Amino acid sequence: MSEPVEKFLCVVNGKQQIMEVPDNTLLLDWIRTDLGLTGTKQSCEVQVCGVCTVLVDGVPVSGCTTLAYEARNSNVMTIEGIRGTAFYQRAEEIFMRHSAVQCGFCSPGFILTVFTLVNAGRKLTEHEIKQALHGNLCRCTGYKSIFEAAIEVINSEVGLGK
Amino acid sequence: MLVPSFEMHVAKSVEDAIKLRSEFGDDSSFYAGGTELLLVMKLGLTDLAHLIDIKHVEELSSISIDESGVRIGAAVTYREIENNPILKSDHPEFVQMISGVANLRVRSVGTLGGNLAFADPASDPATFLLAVKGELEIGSVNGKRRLVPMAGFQTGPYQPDLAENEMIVSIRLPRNLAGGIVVHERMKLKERPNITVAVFAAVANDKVTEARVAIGSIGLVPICIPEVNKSLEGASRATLSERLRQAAEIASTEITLFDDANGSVDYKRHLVKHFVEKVARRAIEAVLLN
Ligand SMILES: Cc1cc2nc3c(=O)[nH]c(=O)nc-3n(C[C@H](O)[C@H](O)[C@H](O)COP(=O)(O)OP(=O)(O)OC[C@H]3O[C@@H](n4cnc5c(N)ncnc54)[C@H](O)[C@@H]3O)c2cc1C
Ligand code: FES
Ligand code: FES
Repeated sequence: MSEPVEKFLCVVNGKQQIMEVPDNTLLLDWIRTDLGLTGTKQSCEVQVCGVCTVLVDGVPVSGCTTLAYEARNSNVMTIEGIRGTAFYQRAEEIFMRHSAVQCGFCSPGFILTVFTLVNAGRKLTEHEIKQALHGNLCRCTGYKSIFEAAIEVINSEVGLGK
Repeated sequence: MLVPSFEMHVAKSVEDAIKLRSEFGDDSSFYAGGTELLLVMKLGLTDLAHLIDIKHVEELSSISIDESGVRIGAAVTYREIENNPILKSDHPEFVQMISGVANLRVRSVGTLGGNLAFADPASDPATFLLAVKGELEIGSVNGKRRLVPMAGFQTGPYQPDLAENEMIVSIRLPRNLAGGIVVHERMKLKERPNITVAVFAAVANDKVTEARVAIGSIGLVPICIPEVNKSLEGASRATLSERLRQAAEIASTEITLFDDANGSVDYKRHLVKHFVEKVARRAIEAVLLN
């Protein structure tokens, strides 16, 4: 089917973009292929691994199983969008110090997930942090270092709950 | 993996959604969070020319709570349920169950109606709703609505009791659990649950007056086995352990199980026995000692 494609606005990492893609386009493909933002990764494609995590209006979604349609007239944030922030610098330093990054393929997804937890502005318990991060997979580190780093980042930003 | 091409239609009301579905028939599907539907489409298991986006229908996207109970629009996301202050304070078990479904990203967009309509045998909400006698509001052609119990709604794996042009409009939870409580537990080794057990229990004069044990995510559909419930009724502190053993034994022999990638029938019987005893104990002890 080749229906005419409408144009929509989408703000990606603070920059206005024109989205002009058919309804069946996946958000991940638009971000990686059309915009060339390759910090967002692709792996399982079934919403299990989290390497494709992006934020649509602040809400974390799997780019691999989200239609670009859902980001029309919205704000999208990818890992590139938080790179310059103080949060990112702190998170990067803490993740490195804990050796929570080895190959780094999973790191954008983990960091963006931690970013949304911090942005919620609420103190979180370690259990809640683990529950939020369990949807991100890492093939290298074995998680302990990632959880420790995530907990330190969240503690330094909003504090931990009991 | 690519999603085959289709055309998206945005429904403005329940009636509009049903009209679009009647018009396009087999070639179409309702689309809410898309967490199941897009997967099925990517895997090439279904070929649809039209999707009907139901997320923008006000009636489907709101939560309301009054004396008669809780009404959750079918297109309300897990995330919205988790963030609802009244649900959090008045129905903590329900919210806790929801906050363990899938992962953060699936909960951002996945909906309660989508879960129940997809009728995956592995469903936490369907099992929970069975234990608390939840109900579903179904919308049909010509503006017709009916309220059906969760029990019996799932007629088989991936088989909801919905006609082609019917949809789930809302999900109803009883306002207070008639003096009882509900406890829910799941075990999951990967993303989806391997077993879900939810137990409602009520007590009067130190005896169990009502017990409802719902077992899901392990058999063909989430079920309540009447003999299991009966074996717990009348239990007191003195007889509880014996009654729990009986209930767990009956549950593990009566339930229909099958071998699959999640384990053998023997292993699954063991899970059923263990979780029925454990979760029913938690529920009954909580009301007995209250
Ligand atoms: C990685 C992963 C892990 C998961 N883990 C769990 C888990 O631990 N526990 C659990 O219980 N579930 C789990 N699920 C299932 C999850 O709960 C469902 O995917 C989700 O709730 C479906 O909602 P949706 O809005 O995305 O549905 P969609 O994908 O939009 O729709 C699913 C189906 O339902 C139909 N539909 C949608 N809304 C309606 C309606 N109102 N009326 C009639 N038909 C409708 C659609 O046409 C489609 O056929 C998991 C899913 C994934 C992808
Ligand atoms: S690639 Fe999207 S969750 Fe794995
Ligand atoms: S560091 Fe390699 S996948 Fe996590």
